[in-house]
Amino acid sequence: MIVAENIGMVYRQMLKEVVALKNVSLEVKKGEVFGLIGPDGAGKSSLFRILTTLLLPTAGRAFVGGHDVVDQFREVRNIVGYMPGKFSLYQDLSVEENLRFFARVFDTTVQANYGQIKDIYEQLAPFKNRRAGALSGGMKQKLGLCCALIHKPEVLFLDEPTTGVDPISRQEFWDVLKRLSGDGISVFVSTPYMDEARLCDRIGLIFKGEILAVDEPDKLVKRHDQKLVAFRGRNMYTLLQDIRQEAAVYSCFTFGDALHVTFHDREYVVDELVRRLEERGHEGVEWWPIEAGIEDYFMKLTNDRCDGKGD
Amino acid sequence: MKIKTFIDQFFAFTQKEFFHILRDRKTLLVLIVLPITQLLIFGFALNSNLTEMPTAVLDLSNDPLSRQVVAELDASTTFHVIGRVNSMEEVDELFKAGKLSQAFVFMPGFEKSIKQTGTGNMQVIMDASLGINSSTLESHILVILLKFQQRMNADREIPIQIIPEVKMRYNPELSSAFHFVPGVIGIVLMLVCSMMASLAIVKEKESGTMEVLLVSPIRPPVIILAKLVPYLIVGMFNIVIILLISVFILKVPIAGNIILLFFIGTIFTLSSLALGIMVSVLTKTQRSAIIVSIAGLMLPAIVMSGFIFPLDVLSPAMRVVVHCMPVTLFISAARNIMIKGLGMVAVYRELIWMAVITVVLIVISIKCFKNRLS
Amino acid sequence: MRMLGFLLQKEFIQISRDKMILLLLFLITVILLFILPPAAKVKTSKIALSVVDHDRSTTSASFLRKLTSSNQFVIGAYVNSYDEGLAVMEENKTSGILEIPKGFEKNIMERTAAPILLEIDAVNGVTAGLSSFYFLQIMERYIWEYIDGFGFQPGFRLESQEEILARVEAEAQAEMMKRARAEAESQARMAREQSLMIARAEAEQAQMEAEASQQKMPESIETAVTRKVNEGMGAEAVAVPGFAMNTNVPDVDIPLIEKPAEANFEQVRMIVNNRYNPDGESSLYQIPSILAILVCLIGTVLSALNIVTEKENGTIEQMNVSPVKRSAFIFSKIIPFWVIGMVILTIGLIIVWLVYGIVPRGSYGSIYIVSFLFLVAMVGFGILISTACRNQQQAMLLCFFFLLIICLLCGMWTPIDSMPAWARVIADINPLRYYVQMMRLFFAYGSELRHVLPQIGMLCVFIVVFNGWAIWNFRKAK
Repeated sequence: MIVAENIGMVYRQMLKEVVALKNVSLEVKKGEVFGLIGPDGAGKSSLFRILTTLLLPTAGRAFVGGHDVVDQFREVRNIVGYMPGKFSLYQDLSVEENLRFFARVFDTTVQANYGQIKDIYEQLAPFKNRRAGALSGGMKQKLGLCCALIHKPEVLFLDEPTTGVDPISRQEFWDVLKRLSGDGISVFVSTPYMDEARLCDRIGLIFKGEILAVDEPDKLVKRHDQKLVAFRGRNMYTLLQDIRQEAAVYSCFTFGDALHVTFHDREYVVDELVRRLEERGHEGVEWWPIEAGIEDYFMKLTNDRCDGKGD
Repeated sequence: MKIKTFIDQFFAFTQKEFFHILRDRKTLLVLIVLPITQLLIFGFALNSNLTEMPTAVLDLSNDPLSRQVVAELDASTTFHVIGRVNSMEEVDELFKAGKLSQAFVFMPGFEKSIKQTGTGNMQVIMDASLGINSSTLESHILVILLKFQQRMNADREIPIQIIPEVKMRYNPELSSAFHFVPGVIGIVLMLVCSMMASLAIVKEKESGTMEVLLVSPIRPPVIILAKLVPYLIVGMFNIVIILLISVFILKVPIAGNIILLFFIGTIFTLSSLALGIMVSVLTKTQRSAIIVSIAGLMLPAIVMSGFIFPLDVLSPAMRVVVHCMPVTLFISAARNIMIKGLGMVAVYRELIWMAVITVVLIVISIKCFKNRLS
Repeated sequence: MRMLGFLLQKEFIQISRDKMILLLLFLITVILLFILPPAAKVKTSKIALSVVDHDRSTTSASFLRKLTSSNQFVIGAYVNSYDEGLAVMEENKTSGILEIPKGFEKNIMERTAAPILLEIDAVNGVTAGLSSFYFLQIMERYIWEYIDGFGFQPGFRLESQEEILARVEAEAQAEMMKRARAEAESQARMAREQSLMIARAEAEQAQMEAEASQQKMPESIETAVTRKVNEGMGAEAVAVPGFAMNTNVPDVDIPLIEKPAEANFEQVRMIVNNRYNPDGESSLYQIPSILAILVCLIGTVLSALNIVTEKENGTIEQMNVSPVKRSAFIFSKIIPFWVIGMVILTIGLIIVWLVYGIVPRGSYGSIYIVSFLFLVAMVGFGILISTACRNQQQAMLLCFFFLLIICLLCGMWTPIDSMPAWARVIADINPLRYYVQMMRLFFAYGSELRHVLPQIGMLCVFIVVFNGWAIWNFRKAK
């Protein structure tokens, strides 16, 4: 449904040039939920805008539903549903009025495709006369999704739809996405949340404008072949710094309340490191082995790009 | 694109626009009250009849005749002698301090000159910094001198008498308002409409709703035309109130066809809105749009529209430029209809030209409407 | 103080990022200074009249000539009736109707009242009054010059009715004879040309015949033509009308009216002393005033929008909870616009100098000092407006409301002295009024700062009031 071939995007501002995307290629099949994972500034929004025909790429080609995003942008705009990162509906119109407006704009009615949005809208229904600007964050996103779905698009583009939304609503949101993909709608979603990445059919890791890897989440995680342990100590910050200085350590990052540490050598004996740390004066040092998560794999890939102990 | 789809989208969009405008009660109120207030203020305050203009007198003759002339001038409502000075330097200082509109200077021997040669000279020094009143003031002086002359020569038999009858057509009381009020109506309507319309599209760009709109089948012509409609309705409502105020409070009659005037006013409102929409399409931020509307449009509207400065002294090139502004056309047409009571025959050219400009502006807006984010 | 430095840095960075605005300001300044001054002309134009001359006499003609030679009036249309003249006036081709009734000349000759009607398009009351004045003035002058120059020579005596009639008839006859003679001459000329053509044609014909029969022509074509023409000359002399044969009446010229007035008539002449504008071009000095108004608009709108944008974005909330001192914050908002305003002023002054050659008689220093004070006041006013607004649209409407009043009631377009009392009060509390006046004085008279101390004082009052009120509103909001 979505095909991107060597997409490049360069922003020119007076004398400066910013490379937002470099050689991005990916494919999304019909009925697939594809997650674009990457930190801020990785180029996610630029890619979204290119695929939704809002930006002209400076290099490469892309097709959505078989239509070229540059030459056949009108056809693309007819079959696509789009939810940009910021809330982009009319604040002074009510929930119902917003929905009706977008239905009419797409030459359809709310009734015609109500089935699409039924499960989401039922939660909004008590507030249908409330002004959209007065809704909570989660409600706003739900409304945004409804308005994007109301015309039964073939492809759905969601740019960070769950940012700033409470965990319960997030879960509900992803339930809906699963249902949509079951209906045959392709979903292209970006998220900074690694746990949501697990819920996608396939994910693409993007960093500084380049695609690092594309695969099913489980398969990606298996690619992480380094020795990975978690560390904890009394003084986390100096622990982090000291561990990073160790030659045997490949990378060390904070993860929640622990440190994730990887080693060059798969057979490295961790107790060695613990001994050296205790020599330095660290107290209460403990460690345990962990399974690599997507985030770990992402960190490994980005670390490979930079020159080593990470930042 | 199918006509039916176009109409559907148009109505959907127009309905949304009406929601916007009706829900912002404060702005709606301001949109109606503001033009009324401005009209009332300017209708009463702007007056080109010159009264009590500060004058200085340098009388180096100081004979009865020169004193009589000065007394005549001072007695008129136009001039007010604020002081008698003794040297040209004092005159200079007064002008430099901005205290004078003009100065009258009599050289020594004024009366003697008249008795001997029949001619006496009075010098008039006008304020060079404000030329707009000079010729009017000069003619006022001339009239007073003329009357004085008549009295001086009263005993001389005038064998022939030409009896002039001067009639003032359209404006027997020479009220300033007749000339200014159509101008104020034009300027205020134009600026308010352009300003509001200039924000119409930019606001959606800034708030992000434009992004979602673009990724939809809706076409630029629909957006642009639908944005015009609610403001046009408000504008038409404004025109009615403005005309009522002109007639009943400002005492400027509508000698001609009210329907025609209303019709032209509507076309004019449309053209001003189209101008604003064009600004809205071409700018990226609300700030830019507002700067263009206020700093860019206010002065041309005042200076180039025939409101104050007459149009017939302009060079042909300037005249063409000036008539490309709808406000110029409207003011001239409004004066023709309101004051002169003329009909379509006198204003059809302005009407057609206004309509053409409106269409051109809308077409430019549609063409320049960005289909993508840049 | 250091805090202020950082804040200013942030402000200037923000401004330089938004290059669109800077470009826009520059463009607006340049374009307006190019197209506004040519339109701001205060020359009074000639008044075009629809003339209905029922009399069609030489006197009425001479009156019209007097009217048009005055450079105030121009004959826009010569029509046959009042209604026709009105129609032309309604088409806006003329601004008045002049109707000279039948018997105008007769009345003047017979020393009875000779009416004349002038109807003026009075939509613009002032110019209508002007036109009326000029007309009366010209009429008076015509009467005096008619008396002094037309028929009364030095040592005159009053002519009797019969003598006048005889003289007029002789003049009429002389005129008719002159016309007849001119007519005869032109007829003779035409006849001559005609016979020339005929003679030439005949000669050519003869030539062709001669060639055809191979005989030589006795004479050349030219000679033949001349001979023929001279033969025919005498026979075709034009008959001159009988009465014109009486050549005792000398050729009397219709006297030109432009004879100077003789003694006995006293007049007071007004002489315009162009002491301060030797080239008579006083509308030039309005251009710096237009620049002044532009600076006012830009400075106010920019400063009003700046704070409101931060309110809309919510960044102002951040400021409120940061250790930034309020005074530093406020100054960081104000100072950049002083700078921008002065830059716009400088660009404008350069354009005014380069394009129109206008240089102030006074010093640039005083211009800059006064402009700076004005900017401080108006930027304060803009900030004051922004404290009352929650979004840019409100700021726009409020700015427009005040700025239009400030702009129209500043004394540039209509005199303040003529306004009703309440409007004069508004003008008295209008900062632009003082600024524009000072700019005019600096440019036209080279006034120095000591001349305009009262105006400077008023500006200082505005500075304190606007900025103080704005700061007070800020404190309240916290």
